[in-house]
Amino acid sequence: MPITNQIRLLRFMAGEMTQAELGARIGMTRQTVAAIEAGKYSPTLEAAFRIAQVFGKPLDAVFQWDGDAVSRP
Amino acid sequence: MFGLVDIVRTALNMGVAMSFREKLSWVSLGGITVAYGPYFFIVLVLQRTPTSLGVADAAGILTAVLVLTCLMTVATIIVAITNVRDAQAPSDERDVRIAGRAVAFAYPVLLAGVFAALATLFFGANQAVLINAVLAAVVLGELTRCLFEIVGYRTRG
Repeated sequence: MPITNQIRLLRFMAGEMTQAELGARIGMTRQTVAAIEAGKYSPTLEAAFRIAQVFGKPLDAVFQWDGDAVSRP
Repeated sequence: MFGLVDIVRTALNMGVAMSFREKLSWVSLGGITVAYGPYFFIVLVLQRTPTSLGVADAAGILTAVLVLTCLMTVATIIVAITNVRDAQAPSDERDVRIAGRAVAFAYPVLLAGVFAALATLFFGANQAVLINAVLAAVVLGELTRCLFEIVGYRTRG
C-alpha cells in the first residue's frame, strides 16, 4: 500500500497512548486503529484529519503517500 | 474464578484481535451453517422433498428458523457480555465499508439464486421445491455476506 503512517511513533510520543484511547478520541474501534497503523486500512480523509488533530500535527506529518510505489513496474 | 465467561472470552480473543462486528459475522456464519446445514442435508441429500407443501415441511423450515434465532441470540449475548465496551461502541467507518462491500457481493448471489429458484417452475417444480430453492438462495446470500465481511476484516478491510 503506498500510504504509510507514523501513528505508532506519535502514540509513543504522546505518553504511550493506547490504540483504544486513540480510537475513542476519533470515534473508531481499537481494531480499526490497529488496521490503520499496520497499513491494512486507509482511513477516510476526515478520519485522517481527526487523527492528525489528536496529535496536534499536520496531516502530512502523520500520513505519507509514496506515489512512485504505484507507478513503479 | 475461571468461569464459563472467561473460557469463552479467551477462545474468542485467541491469537487475533477481532472486532465485535467481526465476531458477530463469525456467529452468523456458524449459526446459519448449524441451523440450515442439517435442514438442506435432509432435503437435498436424503431427497425428502415432498410433492406438495404440508405441515411437516413448514415445521422443518420453522425448526431451522427457530434454531438459528436461538443460536444467534445466545451467541450474540455471550459475545456482547465478553466484549461489553466494543458492543456498546457504534460501527465505525471501516465496519460500514466492510458491511457495504459484503452486501455488494452478496446481493448478486441472492438475486441469481432467486431467479434460479423461479426458473425451476419452468421445469415442472412443485411448491416444495420452489420454497426450498428460494430459502437456499436467501441462505446462500447470507453466507456470502458473512464470508465477505470476515474476509474484509481479515484482509485489507
